[in-house]
Amino acid sequence: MNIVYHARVIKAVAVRDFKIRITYIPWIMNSLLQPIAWTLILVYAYRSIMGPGSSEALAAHGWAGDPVGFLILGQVLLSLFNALNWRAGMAIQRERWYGTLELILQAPASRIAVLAGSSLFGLVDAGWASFLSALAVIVLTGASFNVADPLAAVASILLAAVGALSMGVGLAGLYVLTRSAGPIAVAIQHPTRFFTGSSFPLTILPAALQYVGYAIPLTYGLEAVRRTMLQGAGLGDVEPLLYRLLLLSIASTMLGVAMVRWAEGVARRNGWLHTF
Amino acid sequence: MGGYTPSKLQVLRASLSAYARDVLALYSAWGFILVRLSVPVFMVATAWALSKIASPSGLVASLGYGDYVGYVALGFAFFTMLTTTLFEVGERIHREMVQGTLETVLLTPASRLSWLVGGALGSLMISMADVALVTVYYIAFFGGEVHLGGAPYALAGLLLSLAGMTGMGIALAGIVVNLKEPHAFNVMLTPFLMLLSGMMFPVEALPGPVEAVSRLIPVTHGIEVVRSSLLQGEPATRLFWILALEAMAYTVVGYTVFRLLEARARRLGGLGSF
Repeated sequence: MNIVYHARVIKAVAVRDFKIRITYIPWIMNSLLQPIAWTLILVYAYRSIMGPGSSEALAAHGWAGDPVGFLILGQVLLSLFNALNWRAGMAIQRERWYGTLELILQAPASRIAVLAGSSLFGLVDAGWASFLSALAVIVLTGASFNVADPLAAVASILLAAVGALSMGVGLAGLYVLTRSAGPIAVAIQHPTRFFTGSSFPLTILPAALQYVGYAIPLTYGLEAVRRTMLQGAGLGDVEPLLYRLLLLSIASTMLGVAMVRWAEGVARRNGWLHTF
Repeated sequence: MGGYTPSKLQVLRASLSAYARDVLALYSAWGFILVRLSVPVFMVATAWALSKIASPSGLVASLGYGDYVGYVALGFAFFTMLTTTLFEVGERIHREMVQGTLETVLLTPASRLSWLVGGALGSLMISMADVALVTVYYIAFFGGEVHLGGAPYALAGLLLSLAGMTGMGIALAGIVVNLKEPHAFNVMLTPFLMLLSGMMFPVEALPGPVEAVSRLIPVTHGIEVVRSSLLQGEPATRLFWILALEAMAYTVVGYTVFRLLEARARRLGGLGSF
């Protein structure tokens, strides 16, 4: 099979996912409104606990100034991960829910291309929703940013999105052999919010917990995006973060692909494909 | 009309028992237990992390709440309890629709209100476990202290809020009959209720008009009473009257809205479709 064939499979899955997506308007509204509400909750929580002009404690952790931009960027990338967790991560499980898993597995199409199609649509779908939500919160709160090197900011955002995507793919294998795929996908969002430092500087946590955070690709993406968009950092400043992010993203993607293949093999051998 | 008509209490008991069966089926998938356990743990842990940047000049501290972890832990526990009740009432109808039993339920000569309230009572029992979990977690891991002397006031405030939230839930159930997408609606509503209820911060921090809206939701005053009773030992008894009024108003409005929207759905023939 050549690359054009795989590209057609990717396109077909992405278009199908799009058609299903626009059938459920309340869920589209949900993708737009949820991040706005979550960011505002955190903004008001910060304002209530820190008091007027009192951000020394935050400055001690390397984030001086108004925390609103810090929170907006944290929530945007977290929302991107959450959406990709459902899109890329649940790609195989969703086929089971739709009753199309056997068809997909019998078709002469690469499962990885199916996963890629779902991920691609997820990235576009979550991307515009996260962007619009962030824009709404910026307008509502008047948050300001400090971008000195636009190239560094764009590179950080793109690589952070790749990191979020790789986490989604990485989780895909985990969801195949369980009846609890949906709840696990929900449950995983909360430790991710906590350990990546999306709602507070990671250095607040004890060292042992920070190690957990630094094993997650999104943590580096968040740090790089915040440094380039809030502190005017350049490419040279965030280069080490981006390298680590890229390495972890590759590892996460490879692990996900290997897990999906393994889980599919186990399910086929044991006749479990429709058990869950 | 001849035939057997079950009493309201019998309908309530049957509804409760149906709810229990649904819950058992749901929790046979271990992932749901994982969600139930992990969400409160990370919510309280996030509050702990945020407490590290709290200042004595902050609004939370100036209102007399020195311990932000306790502030959020109790806020979250009781928010969950109250909103679970709200959504259970609303989603009950949709569940019957999906299971294909809605027409049967509506055709039986049983009280619909008792049937909805039975589900709310069931969800209340389940969310009691959440409250216990968060409280134990707060006390065991964060050395939290609660004023047990304030417990009766907290309970009274909670019961009044529950009555109000059940009323809101019944109105929601009427909307759901016509909207057909209750879960998306509820998932969308949850963070906005968190924002307006003051679960993580005092509603005084919100802009004036938004604060006014937040005070129309029973959960806001309910959480305030619970916090002042259990964390400060000084129950905000002035709020009891407001809670009682809200409870009555929401019950009347909820029941009226439900009857009107149910009648509309019957007229338009939309009860069995979703």
